[in-house]
Amino acid sequence: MIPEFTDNPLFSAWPFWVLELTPEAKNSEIEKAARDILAKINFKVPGADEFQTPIGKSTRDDYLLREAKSALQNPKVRLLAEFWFVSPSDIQVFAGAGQEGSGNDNAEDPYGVCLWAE
Amino acid sequence: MSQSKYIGIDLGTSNSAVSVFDGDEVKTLVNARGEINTPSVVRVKGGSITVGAKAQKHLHSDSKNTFKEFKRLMGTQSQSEPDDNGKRWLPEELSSEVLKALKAQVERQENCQFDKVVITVPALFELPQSKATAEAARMAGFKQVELLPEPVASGLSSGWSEQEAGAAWLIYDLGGGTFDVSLIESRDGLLRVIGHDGDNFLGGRDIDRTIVNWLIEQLVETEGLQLDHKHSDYSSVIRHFESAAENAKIKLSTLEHSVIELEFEYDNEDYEVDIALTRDELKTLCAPIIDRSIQICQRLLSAQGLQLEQLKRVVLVGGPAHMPIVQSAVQEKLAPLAQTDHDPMCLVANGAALYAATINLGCEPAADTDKADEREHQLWLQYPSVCTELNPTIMGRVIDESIKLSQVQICTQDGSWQSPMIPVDDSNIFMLEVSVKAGGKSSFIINGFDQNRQAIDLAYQAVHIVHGITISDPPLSRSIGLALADGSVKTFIDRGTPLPAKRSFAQSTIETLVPGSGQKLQIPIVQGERKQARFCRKVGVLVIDAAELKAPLPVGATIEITIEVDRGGDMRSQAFLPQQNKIIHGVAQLFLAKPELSALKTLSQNINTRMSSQLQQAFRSRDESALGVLNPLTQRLQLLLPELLSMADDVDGLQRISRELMEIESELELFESREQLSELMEECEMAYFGTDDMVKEYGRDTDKRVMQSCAKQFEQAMQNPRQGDIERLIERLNQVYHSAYKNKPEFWADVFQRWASHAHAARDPVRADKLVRQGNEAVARKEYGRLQAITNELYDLIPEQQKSQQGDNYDSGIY
Ligand SMILES: Nc1ncnc2c1ncn2[C@@H]1O[C@H](COP(=O)(O)OP(=O)(O)OP(=O)(O)O)[C@@H](O)[C@H]1O
Ligand SMILES: [Mg+2]
Repeated sequence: MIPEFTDNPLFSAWPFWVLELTPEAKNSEIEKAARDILAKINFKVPGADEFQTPIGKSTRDDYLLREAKSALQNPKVRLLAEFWFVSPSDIQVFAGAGQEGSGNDNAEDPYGVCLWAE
Repeated sequence: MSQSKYIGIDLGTSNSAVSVFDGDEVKTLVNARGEINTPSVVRVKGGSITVGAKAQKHLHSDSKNTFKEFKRLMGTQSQSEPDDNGKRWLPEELSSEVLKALKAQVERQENCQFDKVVITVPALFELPQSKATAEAARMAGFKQVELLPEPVASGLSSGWSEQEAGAAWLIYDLGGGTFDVSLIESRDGLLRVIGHDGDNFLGGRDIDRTIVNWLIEQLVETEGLQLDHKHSDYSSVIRHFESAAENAKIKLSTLEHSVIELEFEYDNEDYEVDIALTRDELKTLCAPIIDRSIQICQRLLSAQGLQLEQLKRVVLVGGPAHMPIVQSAVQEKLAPLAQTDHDPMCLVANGAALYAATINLGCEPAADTDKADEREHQLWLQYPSVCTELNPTIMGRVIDESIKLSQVQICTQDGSWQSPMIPVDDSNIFMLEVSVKAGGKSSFIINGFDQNRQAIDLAYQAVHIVHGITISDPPLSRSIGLALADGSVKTFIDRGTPLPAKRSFAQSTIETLVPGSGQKLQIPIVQGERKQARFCRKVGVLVIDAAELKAPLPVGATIEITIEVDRGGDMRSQAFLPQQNKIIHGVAQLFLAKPELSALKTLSQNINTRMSSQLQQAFRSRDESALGVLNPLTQRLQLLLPELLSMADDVDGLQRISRELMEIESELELFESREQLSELMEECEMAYFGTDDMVKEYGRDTDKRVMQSCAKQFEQAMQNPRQGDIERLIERLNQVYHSAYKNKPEFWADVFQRWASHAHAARDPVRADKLVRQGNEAVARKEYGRLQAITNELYDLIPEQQKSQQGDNYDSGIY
């Protein structure tokens, strides 16, 4: 199932996170990633059903893998995902969005700013 | 080691065909009569059943026991008239007879048991229709069934061997009963359906009917006969006319002239009449039908924002594709025809077989199964049977605990390559990336070794990997949602979501349910793109029966509803009542509701009244553009009204009229709400030009790219305004605006001013005050770098509560 957060453009990059890819990924890499991860989930390889996001770990299943693949294969959705792409290890950006505040050290990024500018 | 075979079936309204793919080649099977098409006709004779051309011969002589065109009724509960045995047939039962015949044929010819199959369905088939198709396949003895939209199948088979990357092409499939058109593109090994459109009630049969009507007119003129084709007395005469018309039509695909020989009884008198029909006359007769198909193509192109010049070619599929009239119309009004050696009648079945391979739905031939394969497989292997990458992964896991595998080596079957030793890990898993031949088939074998590097004899399935194009997972063709109490639709699964799909949302009840009261809470499930439930089609219902409840369910109680759809058109729904920890499973009924004649009449009157009042207004104010919209709509409605009055209880006809009425009403409604729409368009225009300026001046490359796509959407939205599209576009524009805005040097001045106005609430007012002063200086000196640092520090001093209030405002503004 697509996580609730997909409505928020800040999280548009979710398909890349789910498939552990970057915006450079070609279609064949997308298909391979989706298939390989699913195969590992089927084999119950530890950790295969989890993926990293900037706000922590989330779980993935065949539905989510399929949706992620299909999102990246749709040029319109992919463009948005590339546009808003942040690496899942880039927690800074999202700290500004959270309740804790203080995340705006990284003032360069467009996202944190959007959250508190009109 | 044996190679899996994959089969695909084109289950057509008039004709069906079956194809086989063996990893190298795809072919459509030729039946005992030397034909690739088996007519989808079923005849019941005593206890035995015949299918195909043999059955077709009896359509007139034994019409009571001979059935055709049941595909059009799939998904409805409508049964045939009783046959001689008194049996009334459901459309899926008849379809399953056709499938059984094809299954037997392919099993005989290929010497292989096939219990897995891909069956094609029209792209616009709705869930109940798909489900009925899957059901038919199960009745025919298939254990696993996948459905594939027909145009995707044609695209796959016509694109399989083509290397024209990036070009858009149209698949124009005019069949016996349905018209499907799809816009397709292949890039980076992926065949993508960009969009499709069509009409479930447009096809070769409509051409036949037009010819029949013309014949009846001719008979009035030449013989003075009044044949009422709605009258049941004449139904067998009309059937005869229809098949004579069809024969003439088919002849005219190769010849310029034909003669329709009619032999029938009228008023107890025998008639033999020959009527000549030329290709030119036929062209005039069927022009409206062909025009309608071309219009649908143009509608598809414009919906996708494509200019005619961008269309590279058109692939013709289906029987009527043989008609020169169709070919010339398509060439004239759309694009050149694809130069293919494919028979338009094979494309669909071939594509289905190819697709079966891409999703690993293969069967192993019985005869050449070698000894090793007869043992239970000891390895569970995962690898793609078709892939677009040149370095697919083969993953394996030992499932037979008794073998102690410690290393494996993977080799190509021809011995040209072998991998190094790969360790099998603690969980008994190994994996390796292999390289495959571009555009061809590669076969691998796996050698196993124990701890002491002694070879182990392994039993496992054959590994064949074809490098080729793939298609994205079949998308849901129409959104699925719930009808809510206020008449609106809450969309659960959007159109385009890959199948299978599953979504849950929490809803609230609007009335109290008391256990034992006999109350039932209905939650209708609908399919369609409109926000108003009545414009969508009801495809099921989830019922919460008060009798099943443990405690009363108060008004406003939360129900968590989950809808799940698989590729076979099977939809499951469930309601979870958290307060009572109870799960209710749903979708009792899943069929196309049969439109009631009386309801359609009322609806048409209602539309007529509304239309007249809009027309009057438009006349009074001499509103040319309004008339331009209303006049064609009125014409469409006027065509339907007499038809509706003379309509008997013909399910197929009712479906068609109901659909047309829904289309007309939805366009009328759009017209009625045009004022609201024009405001929205203005807002969109402002947002667009504002954002465009901002992006031109301050946008980054990605901003510009997104803006380009917005520009396209904007152009489309202005030409063909739809509320939902425009709202989404405004949202998108706001995002881009902000992204570009933050690159504007004065941006930090704006942000600073904003937080400076909250300085009074800061945790350290003295420090905040100082920062505000410094900030103002920086603004004056245009020192934006410094200002940024100051703003950040100031922001940290402002309490969360203050910020979150800002957040609320923001919510409404930006997303
Ligand atoms: N050579 C021909 N010229 C003109 N029309 C033809 C020719 N051959 C078949 N047809 C017509 O094509 C129609 C059947 O086409 P086809 O077999 O593609 O339909 P289908 O696949 O069964 O239907 P659908 O795709 O709607 O389920 C019939 O109306 C038949 O009269
Ligand atoms: Mg067809």
